[in-house]
Amino acid sequence: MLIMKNKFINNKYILRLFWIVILGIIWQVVALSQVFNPTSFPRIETILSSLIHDVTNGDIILQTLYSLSLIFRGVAAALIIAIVLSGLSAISQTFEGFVETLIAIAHPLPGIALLPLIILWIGIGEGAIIFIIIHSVLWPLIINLLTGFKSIPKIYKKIGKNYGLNTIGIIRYILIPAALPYFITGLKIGWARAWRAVISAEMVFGAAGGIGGLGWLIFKKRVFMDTPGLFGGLIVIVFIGILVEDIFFDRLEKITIRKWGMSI
Amino acid sequence: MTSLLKINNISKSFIKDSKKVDVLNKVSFHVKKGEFLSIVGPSGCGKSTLLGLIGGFEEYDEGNIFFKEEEILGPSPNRIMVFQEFNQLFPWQTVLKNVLFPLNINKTEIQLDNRIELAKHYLQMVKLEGYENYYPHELSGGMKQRTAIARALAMKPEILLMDEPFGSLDIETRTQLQSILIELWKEIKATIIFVTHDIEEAVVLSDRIIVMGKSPTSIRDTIVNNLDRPRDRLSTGFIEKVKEIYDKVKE
Ligand SMILES: Nc1ncnc2c1ncn2[C@@H]1O[C@H](COP(=O)(O)OP(=O)(O)O)[C@@H](O)[C@H]1O
Ligand SMILES: [Mg+2]
Repeated sequence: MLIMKNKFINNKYILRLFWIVILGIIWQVVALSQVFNPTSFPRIETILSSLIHDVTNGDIILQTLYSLSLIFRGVAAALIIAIVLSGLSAISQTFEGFVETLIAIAHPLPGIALLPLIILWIGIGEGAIIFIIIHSVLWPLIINLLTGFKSIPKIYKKIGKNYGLNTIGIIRYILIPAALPYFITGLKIGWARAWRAVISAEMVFGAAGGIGGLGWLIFKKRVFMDTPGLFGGLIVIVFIGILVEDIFFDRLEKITIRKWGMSI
Repeated sequence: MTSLLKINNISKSFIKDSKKVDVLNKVSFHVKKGEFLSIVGPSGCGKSTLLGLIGGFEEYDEGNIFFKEEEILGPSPNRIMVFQEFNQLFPWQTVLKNVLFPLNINKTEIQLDNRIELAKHYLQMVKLEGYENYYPHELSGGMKQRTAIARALAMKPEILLMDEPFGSLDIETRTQLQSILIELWKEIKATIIFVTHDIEEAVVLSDRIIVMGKSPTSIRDTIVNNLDRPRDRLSTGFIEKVKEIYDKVKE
């Protein structure tokens, strides 16, 4: 019995579900008590039926996919820039000084604070949102890659040379896998920041030239006083966040750095 | 028999806090093919530095090192180094992949299946069969060092350089690995330069022992060790040999 209890508590997902149910019950009790106006504090079944409606007519799915495609493009671009900049920094100290200066200036700036400037420079289209995503992902990624390259034990490189690897071979077979833990950490932080940034940016930019993303969806719902729909959008945002952070990255770490005993 | 390795009057210094620190001072010795040579000396006397020069990892200031009549210019799979550090294996590769990896780079003329067989064969020689799919973090220190030795030997280097490879192991594991190393050395007729500060270890293993003093060092003495193998640590001859070297180190 005691063992079963422990197992129950040890299973992360079951524990997570358990608390979600508890919070849902509390929510429902508050909603039913009508302490707050039902139009701004809807009951769970109202929220869910609105969400199901939005899912079945396809809107929310398209908008989610749109937000994700923006992130995907931004992250891909940031990835390339980060690898080039940190790679060059690993080779040249002068260049590393330059990159570190860039980080010092740009990293503390929240993407949203750049909005007015971005509107001025790029306008209000997709490009602007992708710019903000790149900004959110790039700096944590570079910082972690730089730390990662520096933390590689010198002995790995020696062994690579001893066994006949040239510079490209050392980068491909040694530096990249050896820096992977830091790379994943950088991606995790970058993803978390990008996901938040894309939602905020979409609320500001609207559906410029398309259907708009999740941020635009919840913004519209508020304008039309569709509170259940607003909560439905928030649920999707949370759900995707959990899916990526707790499941995608967790799996990725499990089959790589945790299996190799390289977690940092 | 001609010498495989000739070290002639090499000197090496480092710059430390903008001051020149001499470490090696006109060191000379030769190594014959098939020989098991040990280098002993107090910590900090320059043993690792010397081995690093032979490995080609660092440049010497003066003198020269000839390997098969050619001057050493850099690291090469002909001269493989085994280190003391347990992290000399790549943590992202299994034991088998760690051994296979250098073969995949250097021995592409051998078919992949045969390369895998070769890697397995050497793992068997260091008594690690059954651990092929383990990752380094799942191994004990002794098993990691055995993997590193298998990886080095699978390359069939002409000379094996070992820098206190058993220095971080407990005494029991260390003794076990010494026996394995001697067996391997006999079986594949390797040439080994083995650095240690454990005099007993040097006497168990080697044909010849070079004694280095405090840096900046040249060689104090070279002692021939003809004791019959397998060597008995409790025999009078063994104890006398250890004492002889101990006195040389202390001088
Ligand atoms: N890269 C280096 N830079 C400066 N000093 C060094 C360097 N490598 C070794 N030394 C110095 O050279 C001396 C010999 O070191 P080492 O060869 O590691 O000794 P041993 O292996 O015999 O213990 C030590 O005093 C050490 O501080
Ligand atoms: Mg040393």
